[in-house]
Amino acid sequence: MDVAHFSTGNVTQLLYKFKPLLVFANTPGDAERLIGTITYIKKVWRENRTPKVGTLAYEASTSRQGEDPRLFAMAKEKGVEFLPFDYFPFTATDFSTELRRIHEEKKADFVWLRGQPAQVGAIMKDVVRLGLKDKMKWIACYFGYNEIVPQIAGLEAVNGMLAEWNFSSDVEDLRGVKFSRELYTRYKRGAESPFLSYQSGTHLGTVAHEATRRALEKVGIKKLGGRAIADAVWSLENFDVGGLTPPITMEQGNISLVRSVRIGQVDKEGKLRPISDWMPTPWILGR
Amino acid sequence: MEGWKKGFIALLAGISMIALSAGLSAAAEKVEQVGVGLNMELTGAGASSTLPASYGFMDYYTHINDQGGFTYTDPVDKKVHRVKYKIIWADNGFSVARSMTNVKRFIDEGAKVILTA
Repeated sequence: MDVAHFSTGNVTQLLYKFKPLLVFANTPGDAERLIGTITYIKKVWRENRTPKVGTLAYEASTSRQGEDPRLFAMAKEKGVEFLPFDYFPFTATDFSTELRRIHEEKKADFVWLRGQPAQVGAIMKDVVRLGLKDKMKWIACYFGYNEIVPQIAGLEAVNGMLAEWNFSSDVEDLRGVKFSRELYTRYKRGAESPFLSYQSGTHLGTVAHEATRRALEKVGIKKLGGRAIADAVWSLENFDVGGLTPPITMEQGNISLVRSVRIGQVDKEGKLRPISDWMPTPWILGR
Repeated sequence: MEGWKKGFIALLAGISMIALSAGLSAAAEKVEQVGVGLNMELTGAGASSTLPASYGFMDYYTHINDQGGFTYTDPVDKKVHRVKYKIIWADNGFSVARSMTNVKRFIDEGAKVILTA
C-alpha cells in the first residue's frame, strides 16, 4: 500500500511497527512531550522535595500507551516523579473519585489531563466543585484545551490552568495564525468550531502538501506514491510553517513532525497564552 | 514569386504560428490530479478537538484548489505541470472500523496521501 499517511494525533509506539515508515504524526508521543514538559515543571517548582505529577486520562489504548516505563524512569532521573495513571470511562460525567484519589492518596502537585476538551471542561467543573483548583496545578494535554473547555466549565474554572501543546495560539501575531484565521473565516462550515484546534489541521495540511509537491518534483506524477512522499517529508529542513510550530527539520526515522512542546496558561478570558519557550522533546518511541 | 503567392504563404505561416501557440497554451493548461483522502472525525467521542482539526486540513486543501492548484517541474520532461487535488473525504466517527473503510475507499479512488484527525 504505497500511500503516505499523516495524522493530527500523537506518535505511538505502534506506528513504528509498520515498515516502511509511511505514517507521520503531528505531535510527539505522550511520554516524549511529558519529558519535555519537565523543563517547565522544574523551572517553577519552589519546594525542597520532588514534585509529583499525576495523570487523569480517558480509558483507551491511546491513553494507556502514554504510561510508558521510560517516562517514569527518565522523569526520575530529572528529579520529577510521575505517578501511575488514573483512568476514567470515556463517557464519564463525574470525576470525583479519581480527583479525590489523585489529591488525597497520591498527593500530586501537578495533574496532567489527557482528555478531549469536552471532558477537560467537565473535569474542571468537578475540580472547582471539590475545592481542588488551587490544591494542584492542572495541565491539559496537547489536544485537551480549546474554546469548548470554558464553555463547559466556566471562565473562572479555567482561569490559570495550564496546557502542554505543540501549536500556536490564536492570540499570537504569526503569519500561520493569520492564514489559518483567513481560511477559517472564508470556509466557515456551519456552527462555530474551535479555532485553537483548527490550526493543527492547517499545519498538517501545510506539511503534507509540501511533501507532495516535493515528491512530484522528484519522481513525477506517474511514480508518485507513499514512499516518494515520505522521502520528501524526511528531506524537510527548517521548513517554515508560518509560526504554527517551530520550523520543521525532520530526523530520519522519527515520525513526529514536531519535536518540541511548550506550556500555555489560560487567562481570565479563556485564551491560551504561551508562558514558556519551545522545549525540545526527546525521541523515545520507535528506537 | 508573385506577390499574392508571397502574401498567401505569409498568411499561412501566420495562421500556423497562431495555431501552434494555441496548441501549446492548451497543453500548458492541462491540470493533473493528485488524490488526497481526508479521514475526518466530525462525529464521535473525540469530536470536540478533531472536528476543527478536520476542517483545518479540509479547508487547506480546498484553498489550494481554489487558488488554481499548484505547479511543479516534472523531472522527466522538465516542463511545468499544474496540479489540483482530488479531495475525497469521509467521517470516521471515532471508529476504527469506519476509518478502515474510509481508507480503503480513498485508496480505491486513487489517493496517494491520507490525512486523519
